[in-house]
Amino acid sequence: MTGPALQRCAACGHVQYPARECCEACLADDLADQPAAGARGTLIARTLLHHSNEPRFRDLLPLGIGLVRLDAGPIVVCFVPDALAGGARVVLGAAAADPALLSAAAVE
Amino acid sequence: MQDYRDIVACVPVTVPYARRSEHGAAWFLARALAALLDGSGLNKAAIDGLCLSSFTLAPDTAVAFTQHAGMSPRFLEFLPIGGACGVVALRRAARAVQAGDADVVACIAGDTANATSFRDLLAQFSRFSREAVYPYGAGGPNASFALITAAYMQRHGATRADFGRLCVAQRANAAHNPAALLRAPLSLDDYLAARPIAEPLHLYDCVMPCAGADGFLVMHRARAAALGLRGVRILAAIERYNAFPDDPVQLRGGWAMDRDALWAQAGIGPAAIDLVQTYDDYPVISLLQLEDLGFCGKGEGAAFVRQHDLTFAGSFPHNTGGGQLSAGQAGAAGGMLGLVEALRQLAGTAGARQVARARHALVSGFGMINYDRGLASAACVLAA
Ligand SMILES: [Zn+2]
Repeated sequence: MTGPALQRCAACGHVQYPARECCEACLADDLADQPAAGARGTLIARTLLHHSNEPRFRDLLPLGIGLVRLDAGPIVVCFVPDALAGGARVVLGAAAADPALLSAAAVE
Repeated sequence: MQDYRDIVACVPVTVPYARRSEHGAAWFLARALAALLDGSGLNKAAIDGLCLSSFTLAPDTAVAFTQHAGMSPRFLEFLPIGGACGVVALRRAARAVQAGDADVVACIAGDTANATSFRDLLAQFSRFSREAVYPYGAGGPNASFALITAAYMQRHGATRADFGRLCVAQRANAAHNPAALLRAPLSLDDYLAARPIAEPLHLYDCVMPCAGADGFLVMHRARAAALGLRGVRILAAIERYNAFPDDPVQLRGGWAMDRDALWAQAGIGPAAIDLVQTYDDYPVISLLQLEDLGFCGKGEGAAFVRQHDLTFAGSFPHNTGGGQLSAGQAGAAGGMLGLVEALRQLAGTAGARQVARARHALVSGFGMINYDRGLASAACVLAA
């Protein structure tokens, strides 16, 4: 699978992110990946970065970053476009700049 | 919980902070240890317990430091837990002395800083951060605390000026602390006009990483008295990890879980506290501590800051040495800064910033943004 994954526990159904080596809820280790892209949630908060600790990001500043609470439970840190504000309904997708990363888009 | 009767903390020391250093972390930790010997009159062999906190000591840990510094302690704790390390070291050391596992415990925290050390630390800070936060713009703690600050402002109606009042008061305190790196006067207008770093955070909301170390000793009260040292008593202490994991964003910390136990053990309440040292890597976290520890209600932190003078001579002396926001954040030493300041205040040795009639202090710690929130919280109540 390409792109970040959520993990679903086969024993209890708990969904978690970032990837762990055990289920956060029941400690089982039978965890199945499912794509994070397509997952829906609510934007909890966003920031606009004007400073990065890595030179490779400096040409991209300012850069929108946010916290999304997925309907399935987990909290995801991802890129957030300028137009979205806290409380917005969003869907995760692959980031344009890097398909290994996630970006939030408004739900139509 | 058993009390901490007859155990004292004493000899607060600070190895001068510096914006950058060519020395390694072990140099700062060794200077702190030497200062503890100077301040106590003890020789190195008398230190039979060690609690050590550092990030940049890596790949070494506390056990390597015993050989580095030629010590043979019979009690050892490595506490790489950032902003909670001071209170947690105090707890560990006090229990070890109570149990007879050590007679005199040196608690030291320190780090170095150079052009790449801070970035290296952030890039590898934790597995979750490395995989799922740092690739998103590498904002480091500025980005994490910006999200918490934004959520707090939205939930509770706090404004930038509310955070600014706290930062300005701390800078006023720092003017009386020769060890603080940032002592130039700061006005609320200066604060509000600063450049954005990670909105809503601007320059003066963010701690400045630096090099340095802090430390103190823990021993039996009778031992301190025999040495002629002014000991500070421990009335109560708490720690908690990964509190409220189901909260979508961190608007409260572990203090809210344990504060009733803290005050019950202390036998006094918030109203009896003469000075407070919160962990202030960003001002919103100080407001969370004031709320969660019961100095005001949830969401009332901004109003509390508006209603009080937070300088050392004011109605609510807070971060009386300037806190990390003005002293600098010397890595793990940031978790000990508030504790050594409280020890000085309660011993009456805080110099030009001495709080009048300082009898009871609260010190709280917070640390380790593993992913989206700080996982460690701790607090203690101390008495002169
Ligand atoms: Zn499970």
